[in-house]
Amino acid sequence: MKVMKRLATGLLIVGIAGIIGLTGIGTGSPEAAQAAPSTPFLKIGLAHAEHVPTLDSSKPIFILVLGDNYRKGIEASHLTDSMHIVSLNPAKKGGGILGFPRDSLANIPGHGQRKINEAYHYGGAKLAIQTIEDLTGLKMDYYAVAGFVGFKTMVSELGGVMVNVPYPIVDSHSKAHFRKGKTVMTGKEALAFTRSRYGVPNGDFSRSDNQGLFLLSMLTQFRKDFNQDPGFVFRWIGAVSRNIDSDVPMENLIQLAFTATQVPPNRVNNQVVPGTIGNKNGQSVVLITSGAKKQYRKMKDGVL
Amino acid sequence: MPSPTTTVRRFSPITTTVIALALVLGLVLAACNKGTTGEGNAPEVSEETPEFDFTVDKVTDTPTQPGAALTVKATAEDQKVADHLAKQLSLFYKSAFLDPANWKDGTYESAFELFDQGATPDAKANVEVLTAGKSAGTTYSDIQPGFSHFNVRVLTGEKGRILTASALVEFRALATLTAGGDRTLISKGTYFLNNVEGGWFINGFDIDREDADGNASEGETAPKQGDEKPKDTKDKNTDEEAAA
Repeated sequence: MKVMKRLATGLLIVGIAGIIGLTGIGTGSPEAAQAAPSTPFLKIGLAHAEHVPTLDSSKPIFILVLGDNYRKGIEASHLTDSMHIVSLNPAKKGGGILGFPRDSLANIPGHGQRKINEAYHYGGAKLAIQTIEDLTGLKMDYYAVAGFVGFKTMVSELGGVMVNVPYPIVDSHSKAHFRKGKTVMTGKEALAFTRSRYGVPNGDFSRSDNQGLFLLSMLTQFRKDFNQDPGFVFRWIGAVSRNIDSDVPMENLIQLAFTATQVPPNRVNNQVVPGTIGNKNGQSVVLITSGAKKQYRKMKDGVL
Repeated sequence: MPSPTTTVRRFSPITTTVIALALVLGLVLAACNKGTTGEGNAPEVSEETPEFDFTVDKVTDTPTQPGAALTVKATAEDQKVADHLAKQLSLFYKSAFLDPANWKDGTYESAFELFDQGATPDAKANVEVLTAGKSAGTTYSDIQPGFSHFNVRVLTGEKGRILTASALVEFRALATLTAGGDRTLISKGTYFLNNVEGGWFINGFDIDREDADGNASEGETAPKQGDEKPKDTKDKNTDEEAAA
């Protein structure tokens, strides 16, 4: 009898203990027992993945970039006072910018030895390309021509471009007034900076160098914008294509833009062809010296 | 020969009541136990893919034609494409995060089918960033979608023809950890999509994962664990107009 009583009591205790254990009675409020374990919101790590639809070709791309000085009612000629070969090697993730001083003497097919900036005036982009190809032996894939208004508008639509000005510039002709150092240039300021040849140490050579520097600054800012928000690539493509005349098909322009996001500016050298000042028919001209041939050879694989 | 005698032992009424009560309690205990613990008795997790669809918050049209404005009002065609992209990327996120058939095995082939040929190898190489991960099946017991944001940008050419598009996405899902507790899976970034023969495929991506233990509500900022940050973590500026 005693054994059975003990057994019954034991069962009772086990049952009650089980119920207590399951419901949480005695350990806190029912609400507390039902709540999920409280976990602090804590970042467990960050990770990143990216892929951009770049050109996968190992073949370098050459673009002749021209700045046309035509202004309605002011300048009747279409002289290209800015002439640069811009190259990009997608495989090497590098490129080059090679500038030609506007007074460089060159053979313009059908027009003889003349200043190189006249080629576009005589025969548009086609003749300018032919002149550059004959001079350098490099085959241009595309051209891009910026006028004064288009260039200013493009820079403004991009919200300005940050340029590290290499030295102080004061030029009343181009209205360029800059301190040495970094500055975000508006469209108007960018035009003044790229046109200045009086307020710079080496005249037309320095101007061509600064034009290349501006292109490189655009690349730097493009990459910065892309890194902040990849969707900005559309804004850049839009600003360029609305304001610059070019034969780059839109599909290729999109691919080129994505390819440029992968090219660090320090893998793109900006140079100007070397030359001496000479005279042709009483006009001051630049005589490109033999050192340029080395630059053309170097640029063949798209990296200067 | 004496007949065998049978001894019948009788319990007192109190003892009988106690035994009966104990048995009832035991049965209650067993019933409770069955409903809460033990292998095969865990709360059932649905094998169905949870419902999830992105809703387009905003569409931005960037024209490329000379003389056009910086951005123009989204057209009906832009909206149509944006809705289509939302469907495509909803499908992607369902495959990459929500379909138990995928995350339980850690295989996401159906998700990768939405990438074009050029982007697929990099997408597969980044499976841990773009999906719930290879070990999701052992790490999580359930994944349910949370809030999301979806903005579309289109680049348009002549006569408003859409040349290419991008989607700025934020996706959150609440994952139940098998070890206990919750984890908020956060996938943020940009997908680029291209129209190939009538179908839109992902041809580029720039995606961050910012997962956090706990249940993160919208806009909540989590304290970081240590100061480590990947080198290429980006500070996204999502308001294009503000910067213009």
